[in-house]
Amino acid sequence: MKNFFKSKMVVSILAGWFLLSGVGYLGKDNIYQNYSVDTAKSPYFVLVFQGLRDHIYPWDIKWKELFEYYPKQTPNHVLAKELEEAQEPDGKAGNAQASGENEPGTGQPGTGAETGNSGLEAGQPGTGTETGNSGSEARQPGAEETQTARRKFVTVEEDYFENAVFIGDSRTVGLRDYGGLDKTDFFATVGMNVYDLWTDKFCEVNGEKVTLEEALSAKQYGKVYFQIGINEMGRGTVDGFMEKYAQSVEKIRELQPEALIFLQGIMKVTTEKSNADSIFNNQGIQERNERIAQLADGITVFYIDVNEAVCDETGGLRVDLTFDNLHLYGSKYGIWVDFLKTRGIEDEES
Amino acid sequence: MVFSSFEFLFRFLPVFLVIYYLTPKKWKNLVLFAASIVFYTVGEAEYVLLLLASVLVNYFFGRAMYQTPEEGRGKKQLLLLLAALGYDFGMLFFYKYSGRMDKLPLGISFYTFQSAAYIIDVYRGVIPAEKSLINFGTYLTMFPQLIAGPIINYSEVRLKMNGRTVTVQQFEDGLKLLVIGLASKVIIADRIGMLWNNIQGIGFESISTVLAWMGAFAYSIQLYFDFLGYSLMAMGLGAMLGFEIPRNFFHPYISKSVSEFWRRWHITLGRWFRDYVYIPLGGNRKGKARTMCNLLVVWALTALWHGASGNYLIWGASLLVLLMLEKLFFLPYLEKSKVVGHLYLLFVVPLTWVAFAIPDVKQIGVYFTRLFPFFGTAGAINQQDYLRYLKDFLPLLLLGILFATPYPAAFYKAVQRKWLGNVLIAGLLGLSIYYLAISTNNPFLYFNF
Repeated sequence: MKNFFKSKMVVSILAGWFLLSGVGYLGKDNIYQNYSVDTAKSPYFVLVFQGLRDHIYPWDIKWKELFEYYPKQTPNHVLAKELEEAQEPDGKAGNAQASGENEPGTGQPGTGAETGNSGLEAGQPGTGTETGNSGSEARQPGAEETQTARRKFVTVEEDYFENAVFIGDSRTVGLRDYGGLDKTDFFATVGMNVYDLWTDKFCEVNGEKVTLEEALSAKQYGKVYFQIGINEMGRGTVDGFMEKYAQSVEKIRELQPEALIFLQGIMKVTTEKSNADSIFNNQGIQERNERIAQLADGITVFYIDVNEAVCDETGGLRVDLTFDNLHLYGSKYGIWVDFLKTRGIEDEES
Repeated sequence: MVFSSFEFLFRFLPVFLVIYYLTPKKWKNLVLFAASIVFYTVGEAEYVLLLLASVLVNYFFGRAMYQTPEEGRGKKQLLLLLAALGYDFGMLFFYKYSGRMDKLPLGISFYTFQSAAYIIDVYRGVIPAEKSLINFGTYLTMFPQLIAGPIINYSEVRLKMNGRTVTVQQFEDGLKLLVIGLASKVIIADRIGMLWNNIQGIGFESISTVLAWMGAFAYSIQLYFDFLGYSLMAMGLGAMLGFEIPRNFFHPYISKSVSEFWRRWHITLGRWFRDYVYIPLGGNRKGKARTMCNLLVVWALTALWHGASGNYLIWGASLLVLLMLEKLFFLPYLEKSKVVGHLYLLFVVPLTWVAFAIPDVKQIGVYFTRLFPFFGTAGAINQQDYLRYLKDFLPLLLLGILFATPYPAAFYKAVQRKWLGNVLIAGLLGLSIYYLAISTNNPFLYFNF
C-alpha cells in the first residue's frame, strides 16, 4: 500500500486533488458563491473548474473577506428566495391590481382610462388583463374597455417582416435558419441572454460581428421582435432578470424610436421536461412571461405569445414538434411564422 | 455510476482502492466482488438479484458438470450445458426481447456472454470449473468490465484469481490508461456528440446534404471514442488491480475492408461469436455456401445482441451483405489497394452507423434521402447550416481523425514512462476534469439554447 506513494502520478493526483479542493472549499462562499457542488458525489475542486470556465481564477479569491470576520454569506439562491419573500406584499398588490382589471366596474379600469393614453401607465391595466388569463379571448374585452388607442392585431402577409428585426437566443436562431424569412434581419445566437445582450458581439452587420447597440444604430427597423429569457433561468432572480429585461426594452426603444416592439413570450418546454426539471420548467417560464407581458402598452410595445400555437392541452410544448423538448424541429418553424402573421399591427394611417 | 463521473473517480474508486490494498491477499477477491455488487447496486438496484442469480446458476452448473476428473463428456454434461445456456439466454431474451420489461438490466448482454463462454469452456474441458464461488462471482461481476465489457474469457483471468501482484509501475500504467480512456470519452466523444444531438434537434428532413455527411462522420467518431474510452478505462482499472483485460479496439478506422474493420472493432465480441458460433458451425472450412450461411447466423445474432429494434436488423443486414460481397468477390483487391480500400471503408462504415444510430426505421430512410439527395425534398432546408457546425466542430472532427490513426498511440508508447508522458497524462486529466465539471452543473451541455 505505502509503495503507491512512490508513484509520482499517484502523489501528484492526490496533491492536486487536495490543493484544488482546498481552494474550492475556501472559495465556496467567496468567489464561487454562484456555483454549487453536490459534495456527496463530487469533490470541492469542481468549483475551481466551473469558475475557470467563467474566467474566475483561484487567485481572484477575496482574501480580505475570507479572513475578516464576516457573517457567513448566504448563497445566492437563498438570497433570491428571501428577496422574493420580502417583496411578496408588493407582488401581491401588483396581482391584486391586475386582477382588478379583469372585472369591469371596479375602480381600476376607470383609472386606467382617466390617466389617459400616456405610455406605460396607460398600458398597465390592459396588460394586467392579458397576464391574468394569457388567452387572446381575455385580451379583447380588456383592450376595448380600457382605451381605444390600444391597437388590434391583424393578419398580415410575409412581406410584413421585411422591415423587421428579430433578436433572441437559439430559438430565434432556429427561426432564422428554418423560418424562411429571408429578407428579415436576425440578431441572435445560441445561449444569448439579457446579461450578455449588450456586451457580446454577436450581431452580423455587413459581414462583421458587432454589438447589438451598434447593429441597432446602423439601421432603423419598422418592427423589433424580441424573445429571450430561457438561458437566464437558474441564474439570478426573476426580479434581477426582469430589471435587465426592462432595461433592454428601453434601450431598444431608444435606438429604434419609430419601431413597433413585439415582446415575445418565452417558448415553453414540453410538459415531460418541465416536470423533470427543477430549473427549466413551464412554471418558471410562465412566471417570467407574465412579468414580460406587463411591459407591453398595446400601443407601440406589444406582448405576443407563440405558446398559443405550439403547446398542447397540458400547457407544454407539443412533443411532436421537438426532439430535445426545447427547440422546434427545423420543419416546424413555419408554425411560429404563421402565428406571427396573425399578430401584425395595422399601420397607423389605415 | 459511469466511469466518467466524479462520483466514480473521486468517491467510489479511491475508497475502494484503499480498502482493496489494505486487505490481505486472501480476501482481495471478496472485496472486489462486494465492491462490484455495490457498484452495480448504485447503478441499478432492482436487478442486482438477477446478476447474483446468474453467478449462482453458472457456478453450480459448472461445478455439477464434472464431479470427478475422469468423468468424460456425456449426456449428463450436455444436459447441464444446455440447461445453463437455457437459463442464461432465457434471461437475456426475456429481459431484452420479450418487450415485457421497459428497462434493460444493466450489463446483462455482457455478463450473459461471459457466463455462456465460461460454461461452454467448462463443458469443452478448456478450463476446470471454478471451485470458489467468490472467485467465480468476482470474475463475472468485476466492476471494471461489468457494464460495457470487454467480454473476458475465464481462461484469461483464472490464474490471476488465485493471487496477483501489482507493481507500482503496473499500477501507474493502469492509471494512465484510465486517464486516456477518460479523455477519449470526455474530451472527444461527449463533445462531438453534441453535433449528432443538434442534428436530431433540427430533424433529419431539414438538414443539408453536407451536414448529413458531417453528422455521419461525427457519429462514427463519437461512437468509437465513447466505446474505446470505456474499454480503455476498463483495461486501466483492470491493470490497477493486477488483471490483464484484453483490448477491444485496434484502430478500426484504418482498415481497408469491412472484414478487417470488424476484426479491429469490439474485438472481444467478435472473438466470442467466432469461438462459440462461427467455428462450431464449421467456419469457412465447409465450402462457400456453408461459409455464407455461417456468416448469416453470426450477423443475425450480432444484430440481435445489440438490440431488438428494426434498425439493428438493417444495420446487421447491411454489414452482412458487405461482408459477403467482400468474401465472395473483392476482398483481395481491397487488401492489395493502397487508397481505394481506405476510401471504401470510410464511405460505407459511417453509413452503417447511421442505421445503428437511428432507432426509427422510417427516419433512417429520411436520413438517407438527405445523404443522397437525388429525390428532391419537401422540408425547410437551410443549405448553409453546415457552415455554423463546421466552425464549432471542425477542431473536434480533426482531433477525432488524428486519434483514430495509430500515430498518437505510437508516440505515447515512446514517451509513456518519461517525463513528457507524465505531463501529457496530467494535462489530459486536467482537461477531462474541466469538461466534466462544466457539464455537471450545466445540464444543457447537449442542448445549449
